[in-house]
Amino acid sequence: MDYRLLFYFVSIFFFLLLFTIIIYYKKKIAYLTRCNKSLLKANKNYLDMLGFVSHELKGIMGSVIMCVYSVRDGFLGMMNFHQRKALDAAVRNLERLEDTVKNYLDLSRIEKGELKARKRKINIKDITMQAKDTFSKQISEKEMVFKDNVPKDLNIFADKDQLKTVYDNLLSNAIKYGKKGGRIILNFEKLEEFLQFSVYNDGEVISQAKRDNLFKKFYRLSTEEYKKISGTGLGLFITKKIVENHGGRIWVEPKEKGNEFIFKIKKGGE
Amino acid sequence: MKKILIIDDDAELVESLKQILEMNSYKVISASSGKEGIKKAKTENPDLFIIDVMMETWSEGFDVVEQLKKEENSCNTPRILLTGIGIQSPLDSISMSPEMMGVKFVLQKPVKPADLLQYVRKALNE
Repeated sequence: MDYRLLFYFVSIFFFLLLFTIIIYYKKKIAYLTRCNKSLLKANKNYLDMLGFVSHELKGIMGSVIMCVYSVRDGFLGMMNFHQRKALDAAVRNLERLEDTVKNYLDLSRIEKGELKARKRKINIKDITMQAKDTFSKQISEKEMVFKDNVPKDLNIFADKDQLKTVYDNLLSNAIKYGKKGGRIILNFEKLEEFLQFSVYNDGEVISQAKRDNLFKKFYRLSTEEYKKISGTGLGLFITKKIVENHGGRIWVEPKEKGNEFIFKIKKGGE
Repeated sequence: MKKILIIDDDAELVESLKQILEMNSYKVISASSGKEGIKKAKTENPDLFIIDVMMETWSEGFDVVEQLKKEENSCNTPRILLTGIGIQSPLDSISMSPEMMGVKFVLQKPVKPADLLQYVRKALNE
């Protein structure tokens, strides 16, 4: 056997094999790039549509809410008991729709990367008080005790609308998942580099497995008791994104009689 | 009777705002664009402006507010701004605060009638 000839054959074989592999992977990479491009386009279309539909719905809701509340609250004349009951149901569903539209609008902004924290000096107590006002009806309906330990003179450097959304979401959950007649407590702590805030509510302690999923998109607590509670599963996801947008993080800690949602944001400019 | 000028391109919303305000003894006039609003501000001399931020453009309402500041008969007239809901409102896109623009209150849409009346009364010092 001529070893030189064998060497040539083997060399040619490996060269052809290498060439085939390179061509194969080049084609594969080109295919994956095309797939990725079309997926990005589909995702962009989905996000655009999500934002557009939410925005359109929000516009429609403006006049619907004004009209329905005007009738329900007696601004346009008195109503009988049955009419009032029917409109109460309409208002409850409108509130759900308003929450849903707001969450989807926020989601589309977050996923498109449009969420930017426009930080200004704000008084955090103003925000917690506004949040309490927003939910005062639900708090009294559930006979809950509300305690706000956030100091009056606490000014922080943060995005006001976004922080309001954080407190709205946490307080809304504390009421929805909290025990009837239980406590809701807002706390604050100054750390070295961070400002730490928390919202506690009495209620069923959330298990470790569920705690790990709570901040994921569309995740909802699914026990028998909680199944009746409406929601989009977006509130805590949005809350987490906002907190991260402020250089912080959020987590939940089990307590003896309930759960405490704690978030900290980076100090700066106070 | 106090006169209120609503500047908003959403005809349905304007109609519902009008109804609730007229039921509460206010005279209401409306304009469906910033340009029309400025024109009416000169001829009607309202006691209060309610201005939507997002009309044909993202921030048309701010342009109206800026323009009104330059008009002699409306530079001191109180203004309420209506803006969208959510974590990123049009107010974030401007460097000036609403107070600096002479805006008394900023209300997030959708507005509830009780809130609307409360802020209208406050803006008119009633």
